[in-house]
Amino acid sequence: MSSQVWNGPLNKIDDYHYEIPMSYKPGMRVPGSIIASPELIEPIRHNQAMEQVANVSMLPGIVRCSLAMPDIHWGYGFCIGGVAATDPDQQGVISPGGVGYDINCGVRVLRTHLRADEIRPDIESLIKKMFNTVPTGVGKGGKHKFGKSDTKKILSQGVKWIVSQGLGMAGDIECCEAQGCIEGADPDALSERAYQRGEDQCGTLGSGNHFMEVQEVQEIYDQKIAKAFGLEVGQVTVMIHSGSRGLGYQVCEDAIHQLRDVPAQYGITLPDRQLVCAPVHSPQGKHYLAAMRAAANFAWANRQILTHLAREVFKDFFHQKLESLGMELLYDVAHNIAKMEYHDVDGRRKLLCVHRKGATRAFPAGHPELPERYRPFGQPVLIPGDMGRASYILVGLPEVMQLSFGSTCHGAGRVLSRSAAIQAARGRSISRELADQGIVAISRDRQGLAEEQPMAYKDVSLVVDAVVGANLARKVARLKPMGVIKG
Amino acid sequence: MNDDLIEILDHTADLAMRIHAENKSDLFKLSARAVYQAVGKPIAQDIPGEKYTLELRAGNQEDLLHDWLAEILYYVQVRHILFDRFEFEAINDTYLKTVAEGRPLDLTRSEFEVEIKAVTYHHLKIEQTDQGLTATFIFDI
Repeated sequence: MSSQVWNGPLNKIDDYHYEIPMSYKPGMRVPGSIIASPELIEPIRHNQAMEQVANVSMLPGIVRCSLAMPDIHWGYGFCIGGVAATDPDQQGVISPGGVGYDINCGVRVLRTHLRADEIRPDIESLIKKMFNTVPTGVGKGGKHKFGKSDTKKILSQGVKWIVSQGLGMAGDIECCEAQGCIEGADPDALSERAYQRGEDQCGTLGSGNHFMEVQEVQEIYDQKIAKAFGLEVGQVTVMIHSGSRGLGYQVCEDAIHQLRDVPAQYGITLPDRQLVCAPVHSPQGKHYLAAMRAAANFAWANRQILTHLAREVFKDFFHQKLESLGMELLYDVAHNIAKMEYHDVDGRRKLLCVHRKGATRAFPAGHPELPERYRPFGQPVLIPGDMGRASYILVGLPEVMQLSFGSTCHGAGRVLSRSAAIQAARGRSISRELADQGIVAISRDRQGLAEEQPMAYKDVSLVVDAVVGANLARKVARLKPMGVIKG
Repeated sequence: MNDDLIEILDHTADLAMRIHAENKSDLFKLSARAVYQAVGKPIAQDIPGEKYTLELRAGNQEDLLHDWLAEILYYVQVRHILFDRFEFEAINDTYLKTVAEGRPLDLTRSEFEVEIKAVTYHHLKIEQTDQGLTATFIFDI
């Protein structure tokens, strides 16, 4: 379909910034701005992701530019790896497509007191136990069941409610973006189908690219900040990637359905129906925001229960108490979300609606939204890579606020379609290839590992080098996979 | 109608499909089958089916197709009901009414390979061709 090469105009600003000029298409309100390195920019042209960047620039009230991060790839409506901020006072809109179906899909990292060398001989057994404990895969229900009234508490309180049920540790709330709960969530804004789809899914990993991974801190790039984040070489960490599951998907589905005739009511012309939107201040915009926030809180609660399960696995496996395992939450970030945030625009402080569709918040040192323990250093920015190479922990630089509304990449970014990845895996055993590198990978089926094999993704190191080169963030640590479970 | 009329198209992150049919009711029947193919191998219990009436209204034919796919998906993924033998009482660009035979899934034999998050509106279209109709749609997976 639209996988042909994109031949639109792209101006090189410097080695890490590229621009789609407003003259490219009628209706563009701001330029498109792509963060990428010379090495990454050409492959990005191989599908229609750039066209999507240009389309997003047509949203009413968009401020400064339509941004894309170096892990950009072709999505639907918004590209994946996109950032767009709109000004509600200038008829700025909120677009459910700018958040995506998996509302508050995100990542968290737990640090431990364990040493990689000590656990390496047992890694296979540990990962098997993890796989047998953590609900994974399509349609898999969770061990913790919540009735509708408890689900409503989850939707309004997020991580706080889960911790109040004994499924958390001190620090779990403080170390989540937004403390694991966005204010303004309305559980009554969700449809019955959304409740049905989320019924037994809080505390489940899901399928696709979601995972739980045991990692080794392989390299430290910034000793001072790594120390503040509690990281050192050889330490074991656990990374969790999941989102709002079926409940979030249905919230987005309902919103797009409800909004599909709304742009015309406000005289908004859109190049792609997946970009449906409503002014932030409109009744329709407020309704979606209230539902989206509830789903975001559900996602934080989901990752909190997954964290509890990971801690239980480690406690049982190593016969140690949590205190001695030290499985504290380093941080939890959302990478599919829309947040109301203050940003400086032309010298004025403005409250903007920042859409991050496959992009990670990366607030720098001193930002008031950061927990006290990280405020002198900046927010830990968690960048998962693929299951064969590496993941990174970065920290936002001051320039990130002006350059990208406090945002960086969210991962490596796909380069192969799922069918191409399956095709490329024919005759190979991905699990054996990973085992040869000392990595234990378990999935429900061979197809899951084939779709998610390392070569299906860009090299995350190149992606991270581009956000570092663009002055958005600095590297703090590199994490090497030891074992991973996939849905 | 056969499954050769269902094509899987290349898309980096999601699952794109194209359906070819002679007329609208066949197009919608095949689209339902495409949903089942996309989720994996859903198998119904070997018991007599129940009648389900599905009635949808939308502003145009693409929205109607979207809502149809979403409905089929909801029944198979959430309610675990598999439909067969659709009898369309009415179908046009903005309205359809059909009676389908639905049976609960045999969860011990069914295989769910892909979790479809939703049917997207991106590149969603129905086109008239020399042979009939073609529908294209993308699932977010």
